[in-house]
Amino acid sequence: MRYHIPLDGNPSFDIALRNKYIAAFGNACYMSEVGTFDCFYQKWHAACADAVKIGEVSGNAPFDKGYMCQPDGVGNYTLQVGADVANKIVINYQAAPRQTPLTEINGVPTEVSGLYRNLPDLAGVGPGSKFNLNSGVPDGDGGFLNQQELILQVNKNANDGGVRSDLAGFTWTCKGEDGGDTTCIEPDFLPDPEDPGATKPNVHHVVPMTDKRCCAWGTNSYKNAAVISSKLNGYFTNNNPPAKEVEQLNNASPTP
Amino acid sequence: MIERKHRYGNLVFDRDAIVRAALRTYFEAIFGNFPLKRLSFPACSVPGWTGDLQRGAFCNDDQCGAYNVVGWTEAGVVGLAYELGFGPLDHLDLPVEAVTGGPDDVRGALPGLPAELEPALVLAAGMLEVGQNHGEKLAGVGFWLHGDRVAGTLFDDPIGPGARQLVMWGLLQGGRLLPLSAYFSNPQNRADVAECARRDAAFHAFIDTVVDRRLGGPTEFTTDESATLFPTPPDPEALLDAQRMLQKVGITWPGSPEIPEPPKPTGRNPFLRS
Repeated sequence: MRYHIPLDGNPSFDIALRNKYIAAFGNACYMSEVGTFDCFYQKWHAACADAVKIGEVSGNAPFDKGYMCQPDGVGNYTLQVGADVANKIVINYQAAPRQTPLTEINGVPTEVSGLYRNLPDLAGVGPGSKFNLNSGVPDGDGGFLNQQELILQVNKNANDGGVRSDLAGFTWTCKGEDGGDTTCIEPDFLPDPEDPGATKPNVHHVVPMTDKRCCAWGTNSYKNAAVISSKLNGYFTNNNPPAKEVEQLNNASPTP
Repeated sequence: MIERKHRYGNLVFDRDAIVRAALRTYFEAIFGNFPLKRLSFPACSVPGWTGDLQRGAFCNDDQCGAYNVVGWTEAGVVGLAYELGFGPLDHLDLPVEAVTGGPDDVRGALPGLPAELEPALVLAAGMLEVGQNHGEKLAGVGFWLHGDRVAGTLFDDPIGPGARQLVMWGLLQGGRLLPLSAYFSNPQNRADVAECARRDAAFHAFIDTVVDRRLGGPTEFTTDESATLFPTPPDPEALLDAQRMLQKVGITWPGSPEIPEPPKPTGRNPFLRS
């Protein structure tokens, strides 16, 4: 259950309007997997802070900003947006649909299909799950590897025993040693002996396990996995996956 | 010791049991992961340790971007956890201007923290990673245990991000910290985890024996125990790493010399190479 703000217009179909909302309200707004566009919030005060801007962001008359959200006693909030007390919007506490796991690449919604796409997915794969299911692959000592161990093992097997970053060469803006912005480049191999902490291999959910609203999003399908440094994983955090990340992974040859 | 009802079960928090379980999990992780893997579904992928059994901290990193830390002193325990995207700026309403890069960044996860637990907070916070843009310590949920009192956002926001990691410290089974998948996965997987634990029972019992001995003071493996650990000769580098890690918690090999820490990295930042 999340707080929903009533957007003006029809951003589910009006792409220009949709982009205005995203520019103003960020990751709170998203296309759902059922094709609707809405903005949902985990906290009511964040919803109210954005709701008051709906008028101006949509290009309609700005809302009167002199009012505060009021609880309606059943979990929702109302916000007066004009001098008339009847002129108010409802911030509804309701179920939020899952954000689409597709990433737009050159205008085309694209499914993540990373290097481990040839590994058969397991029963029980689903949104919000860690890579900790039993892979069913023996570990050589009478037990089994979990998904994460299998992914790392497959990576090592393909790289002569070393762990190679699936996003080697990926660049992003990071902080340099002087605290200013600089460009970081993902190393080829992990962990790098010169900085084993930052280059520690992580098994990364390309579509994050949990979205900004703390709702289940990315799955533990092998297609959604990438081996990258912990530093790059920390950069991606749980933001929407950048198109260039998905493009690089989808274009790479599968392993195995 | 205190028992609390929680969304995820009946939690029992006990300072000595948590410290023992931290030591046990550290040991288990060395032999639960490659290259020395001897058992399946360890509770930790990448372990970290600082201090000793009186005052110390343990980091349980899942190698996917999430981790939890417990820090302890004689006075009690502080637990903190992080899930990607849910640090103090996003989840504890810490303003960017208030970031110190120290324990205060995550204090919001520990409302009512008794003064006696400040050192445990410092130890725990010392193991936390920091945000790349603002340098804030990264944790979004916590608990503290002081005598028979326990509190924290783990109880105020019981299903928030990271809560599942922390409740495991209140769900110890036979003194063992269980992997998240033992509770939070589908029934078939939970059954697989339980079956693997049953199959690995002898090795788990071996870990318990050594850990219990260590609780009485620094200890070393017997020749038989060394043979149990390494039925075939291990890779010398992997063996040295294991010896170095176990030495840190006061467990050594017969006649083993002091093993120095590996040299600190001196090269260029691997992310800034052209």
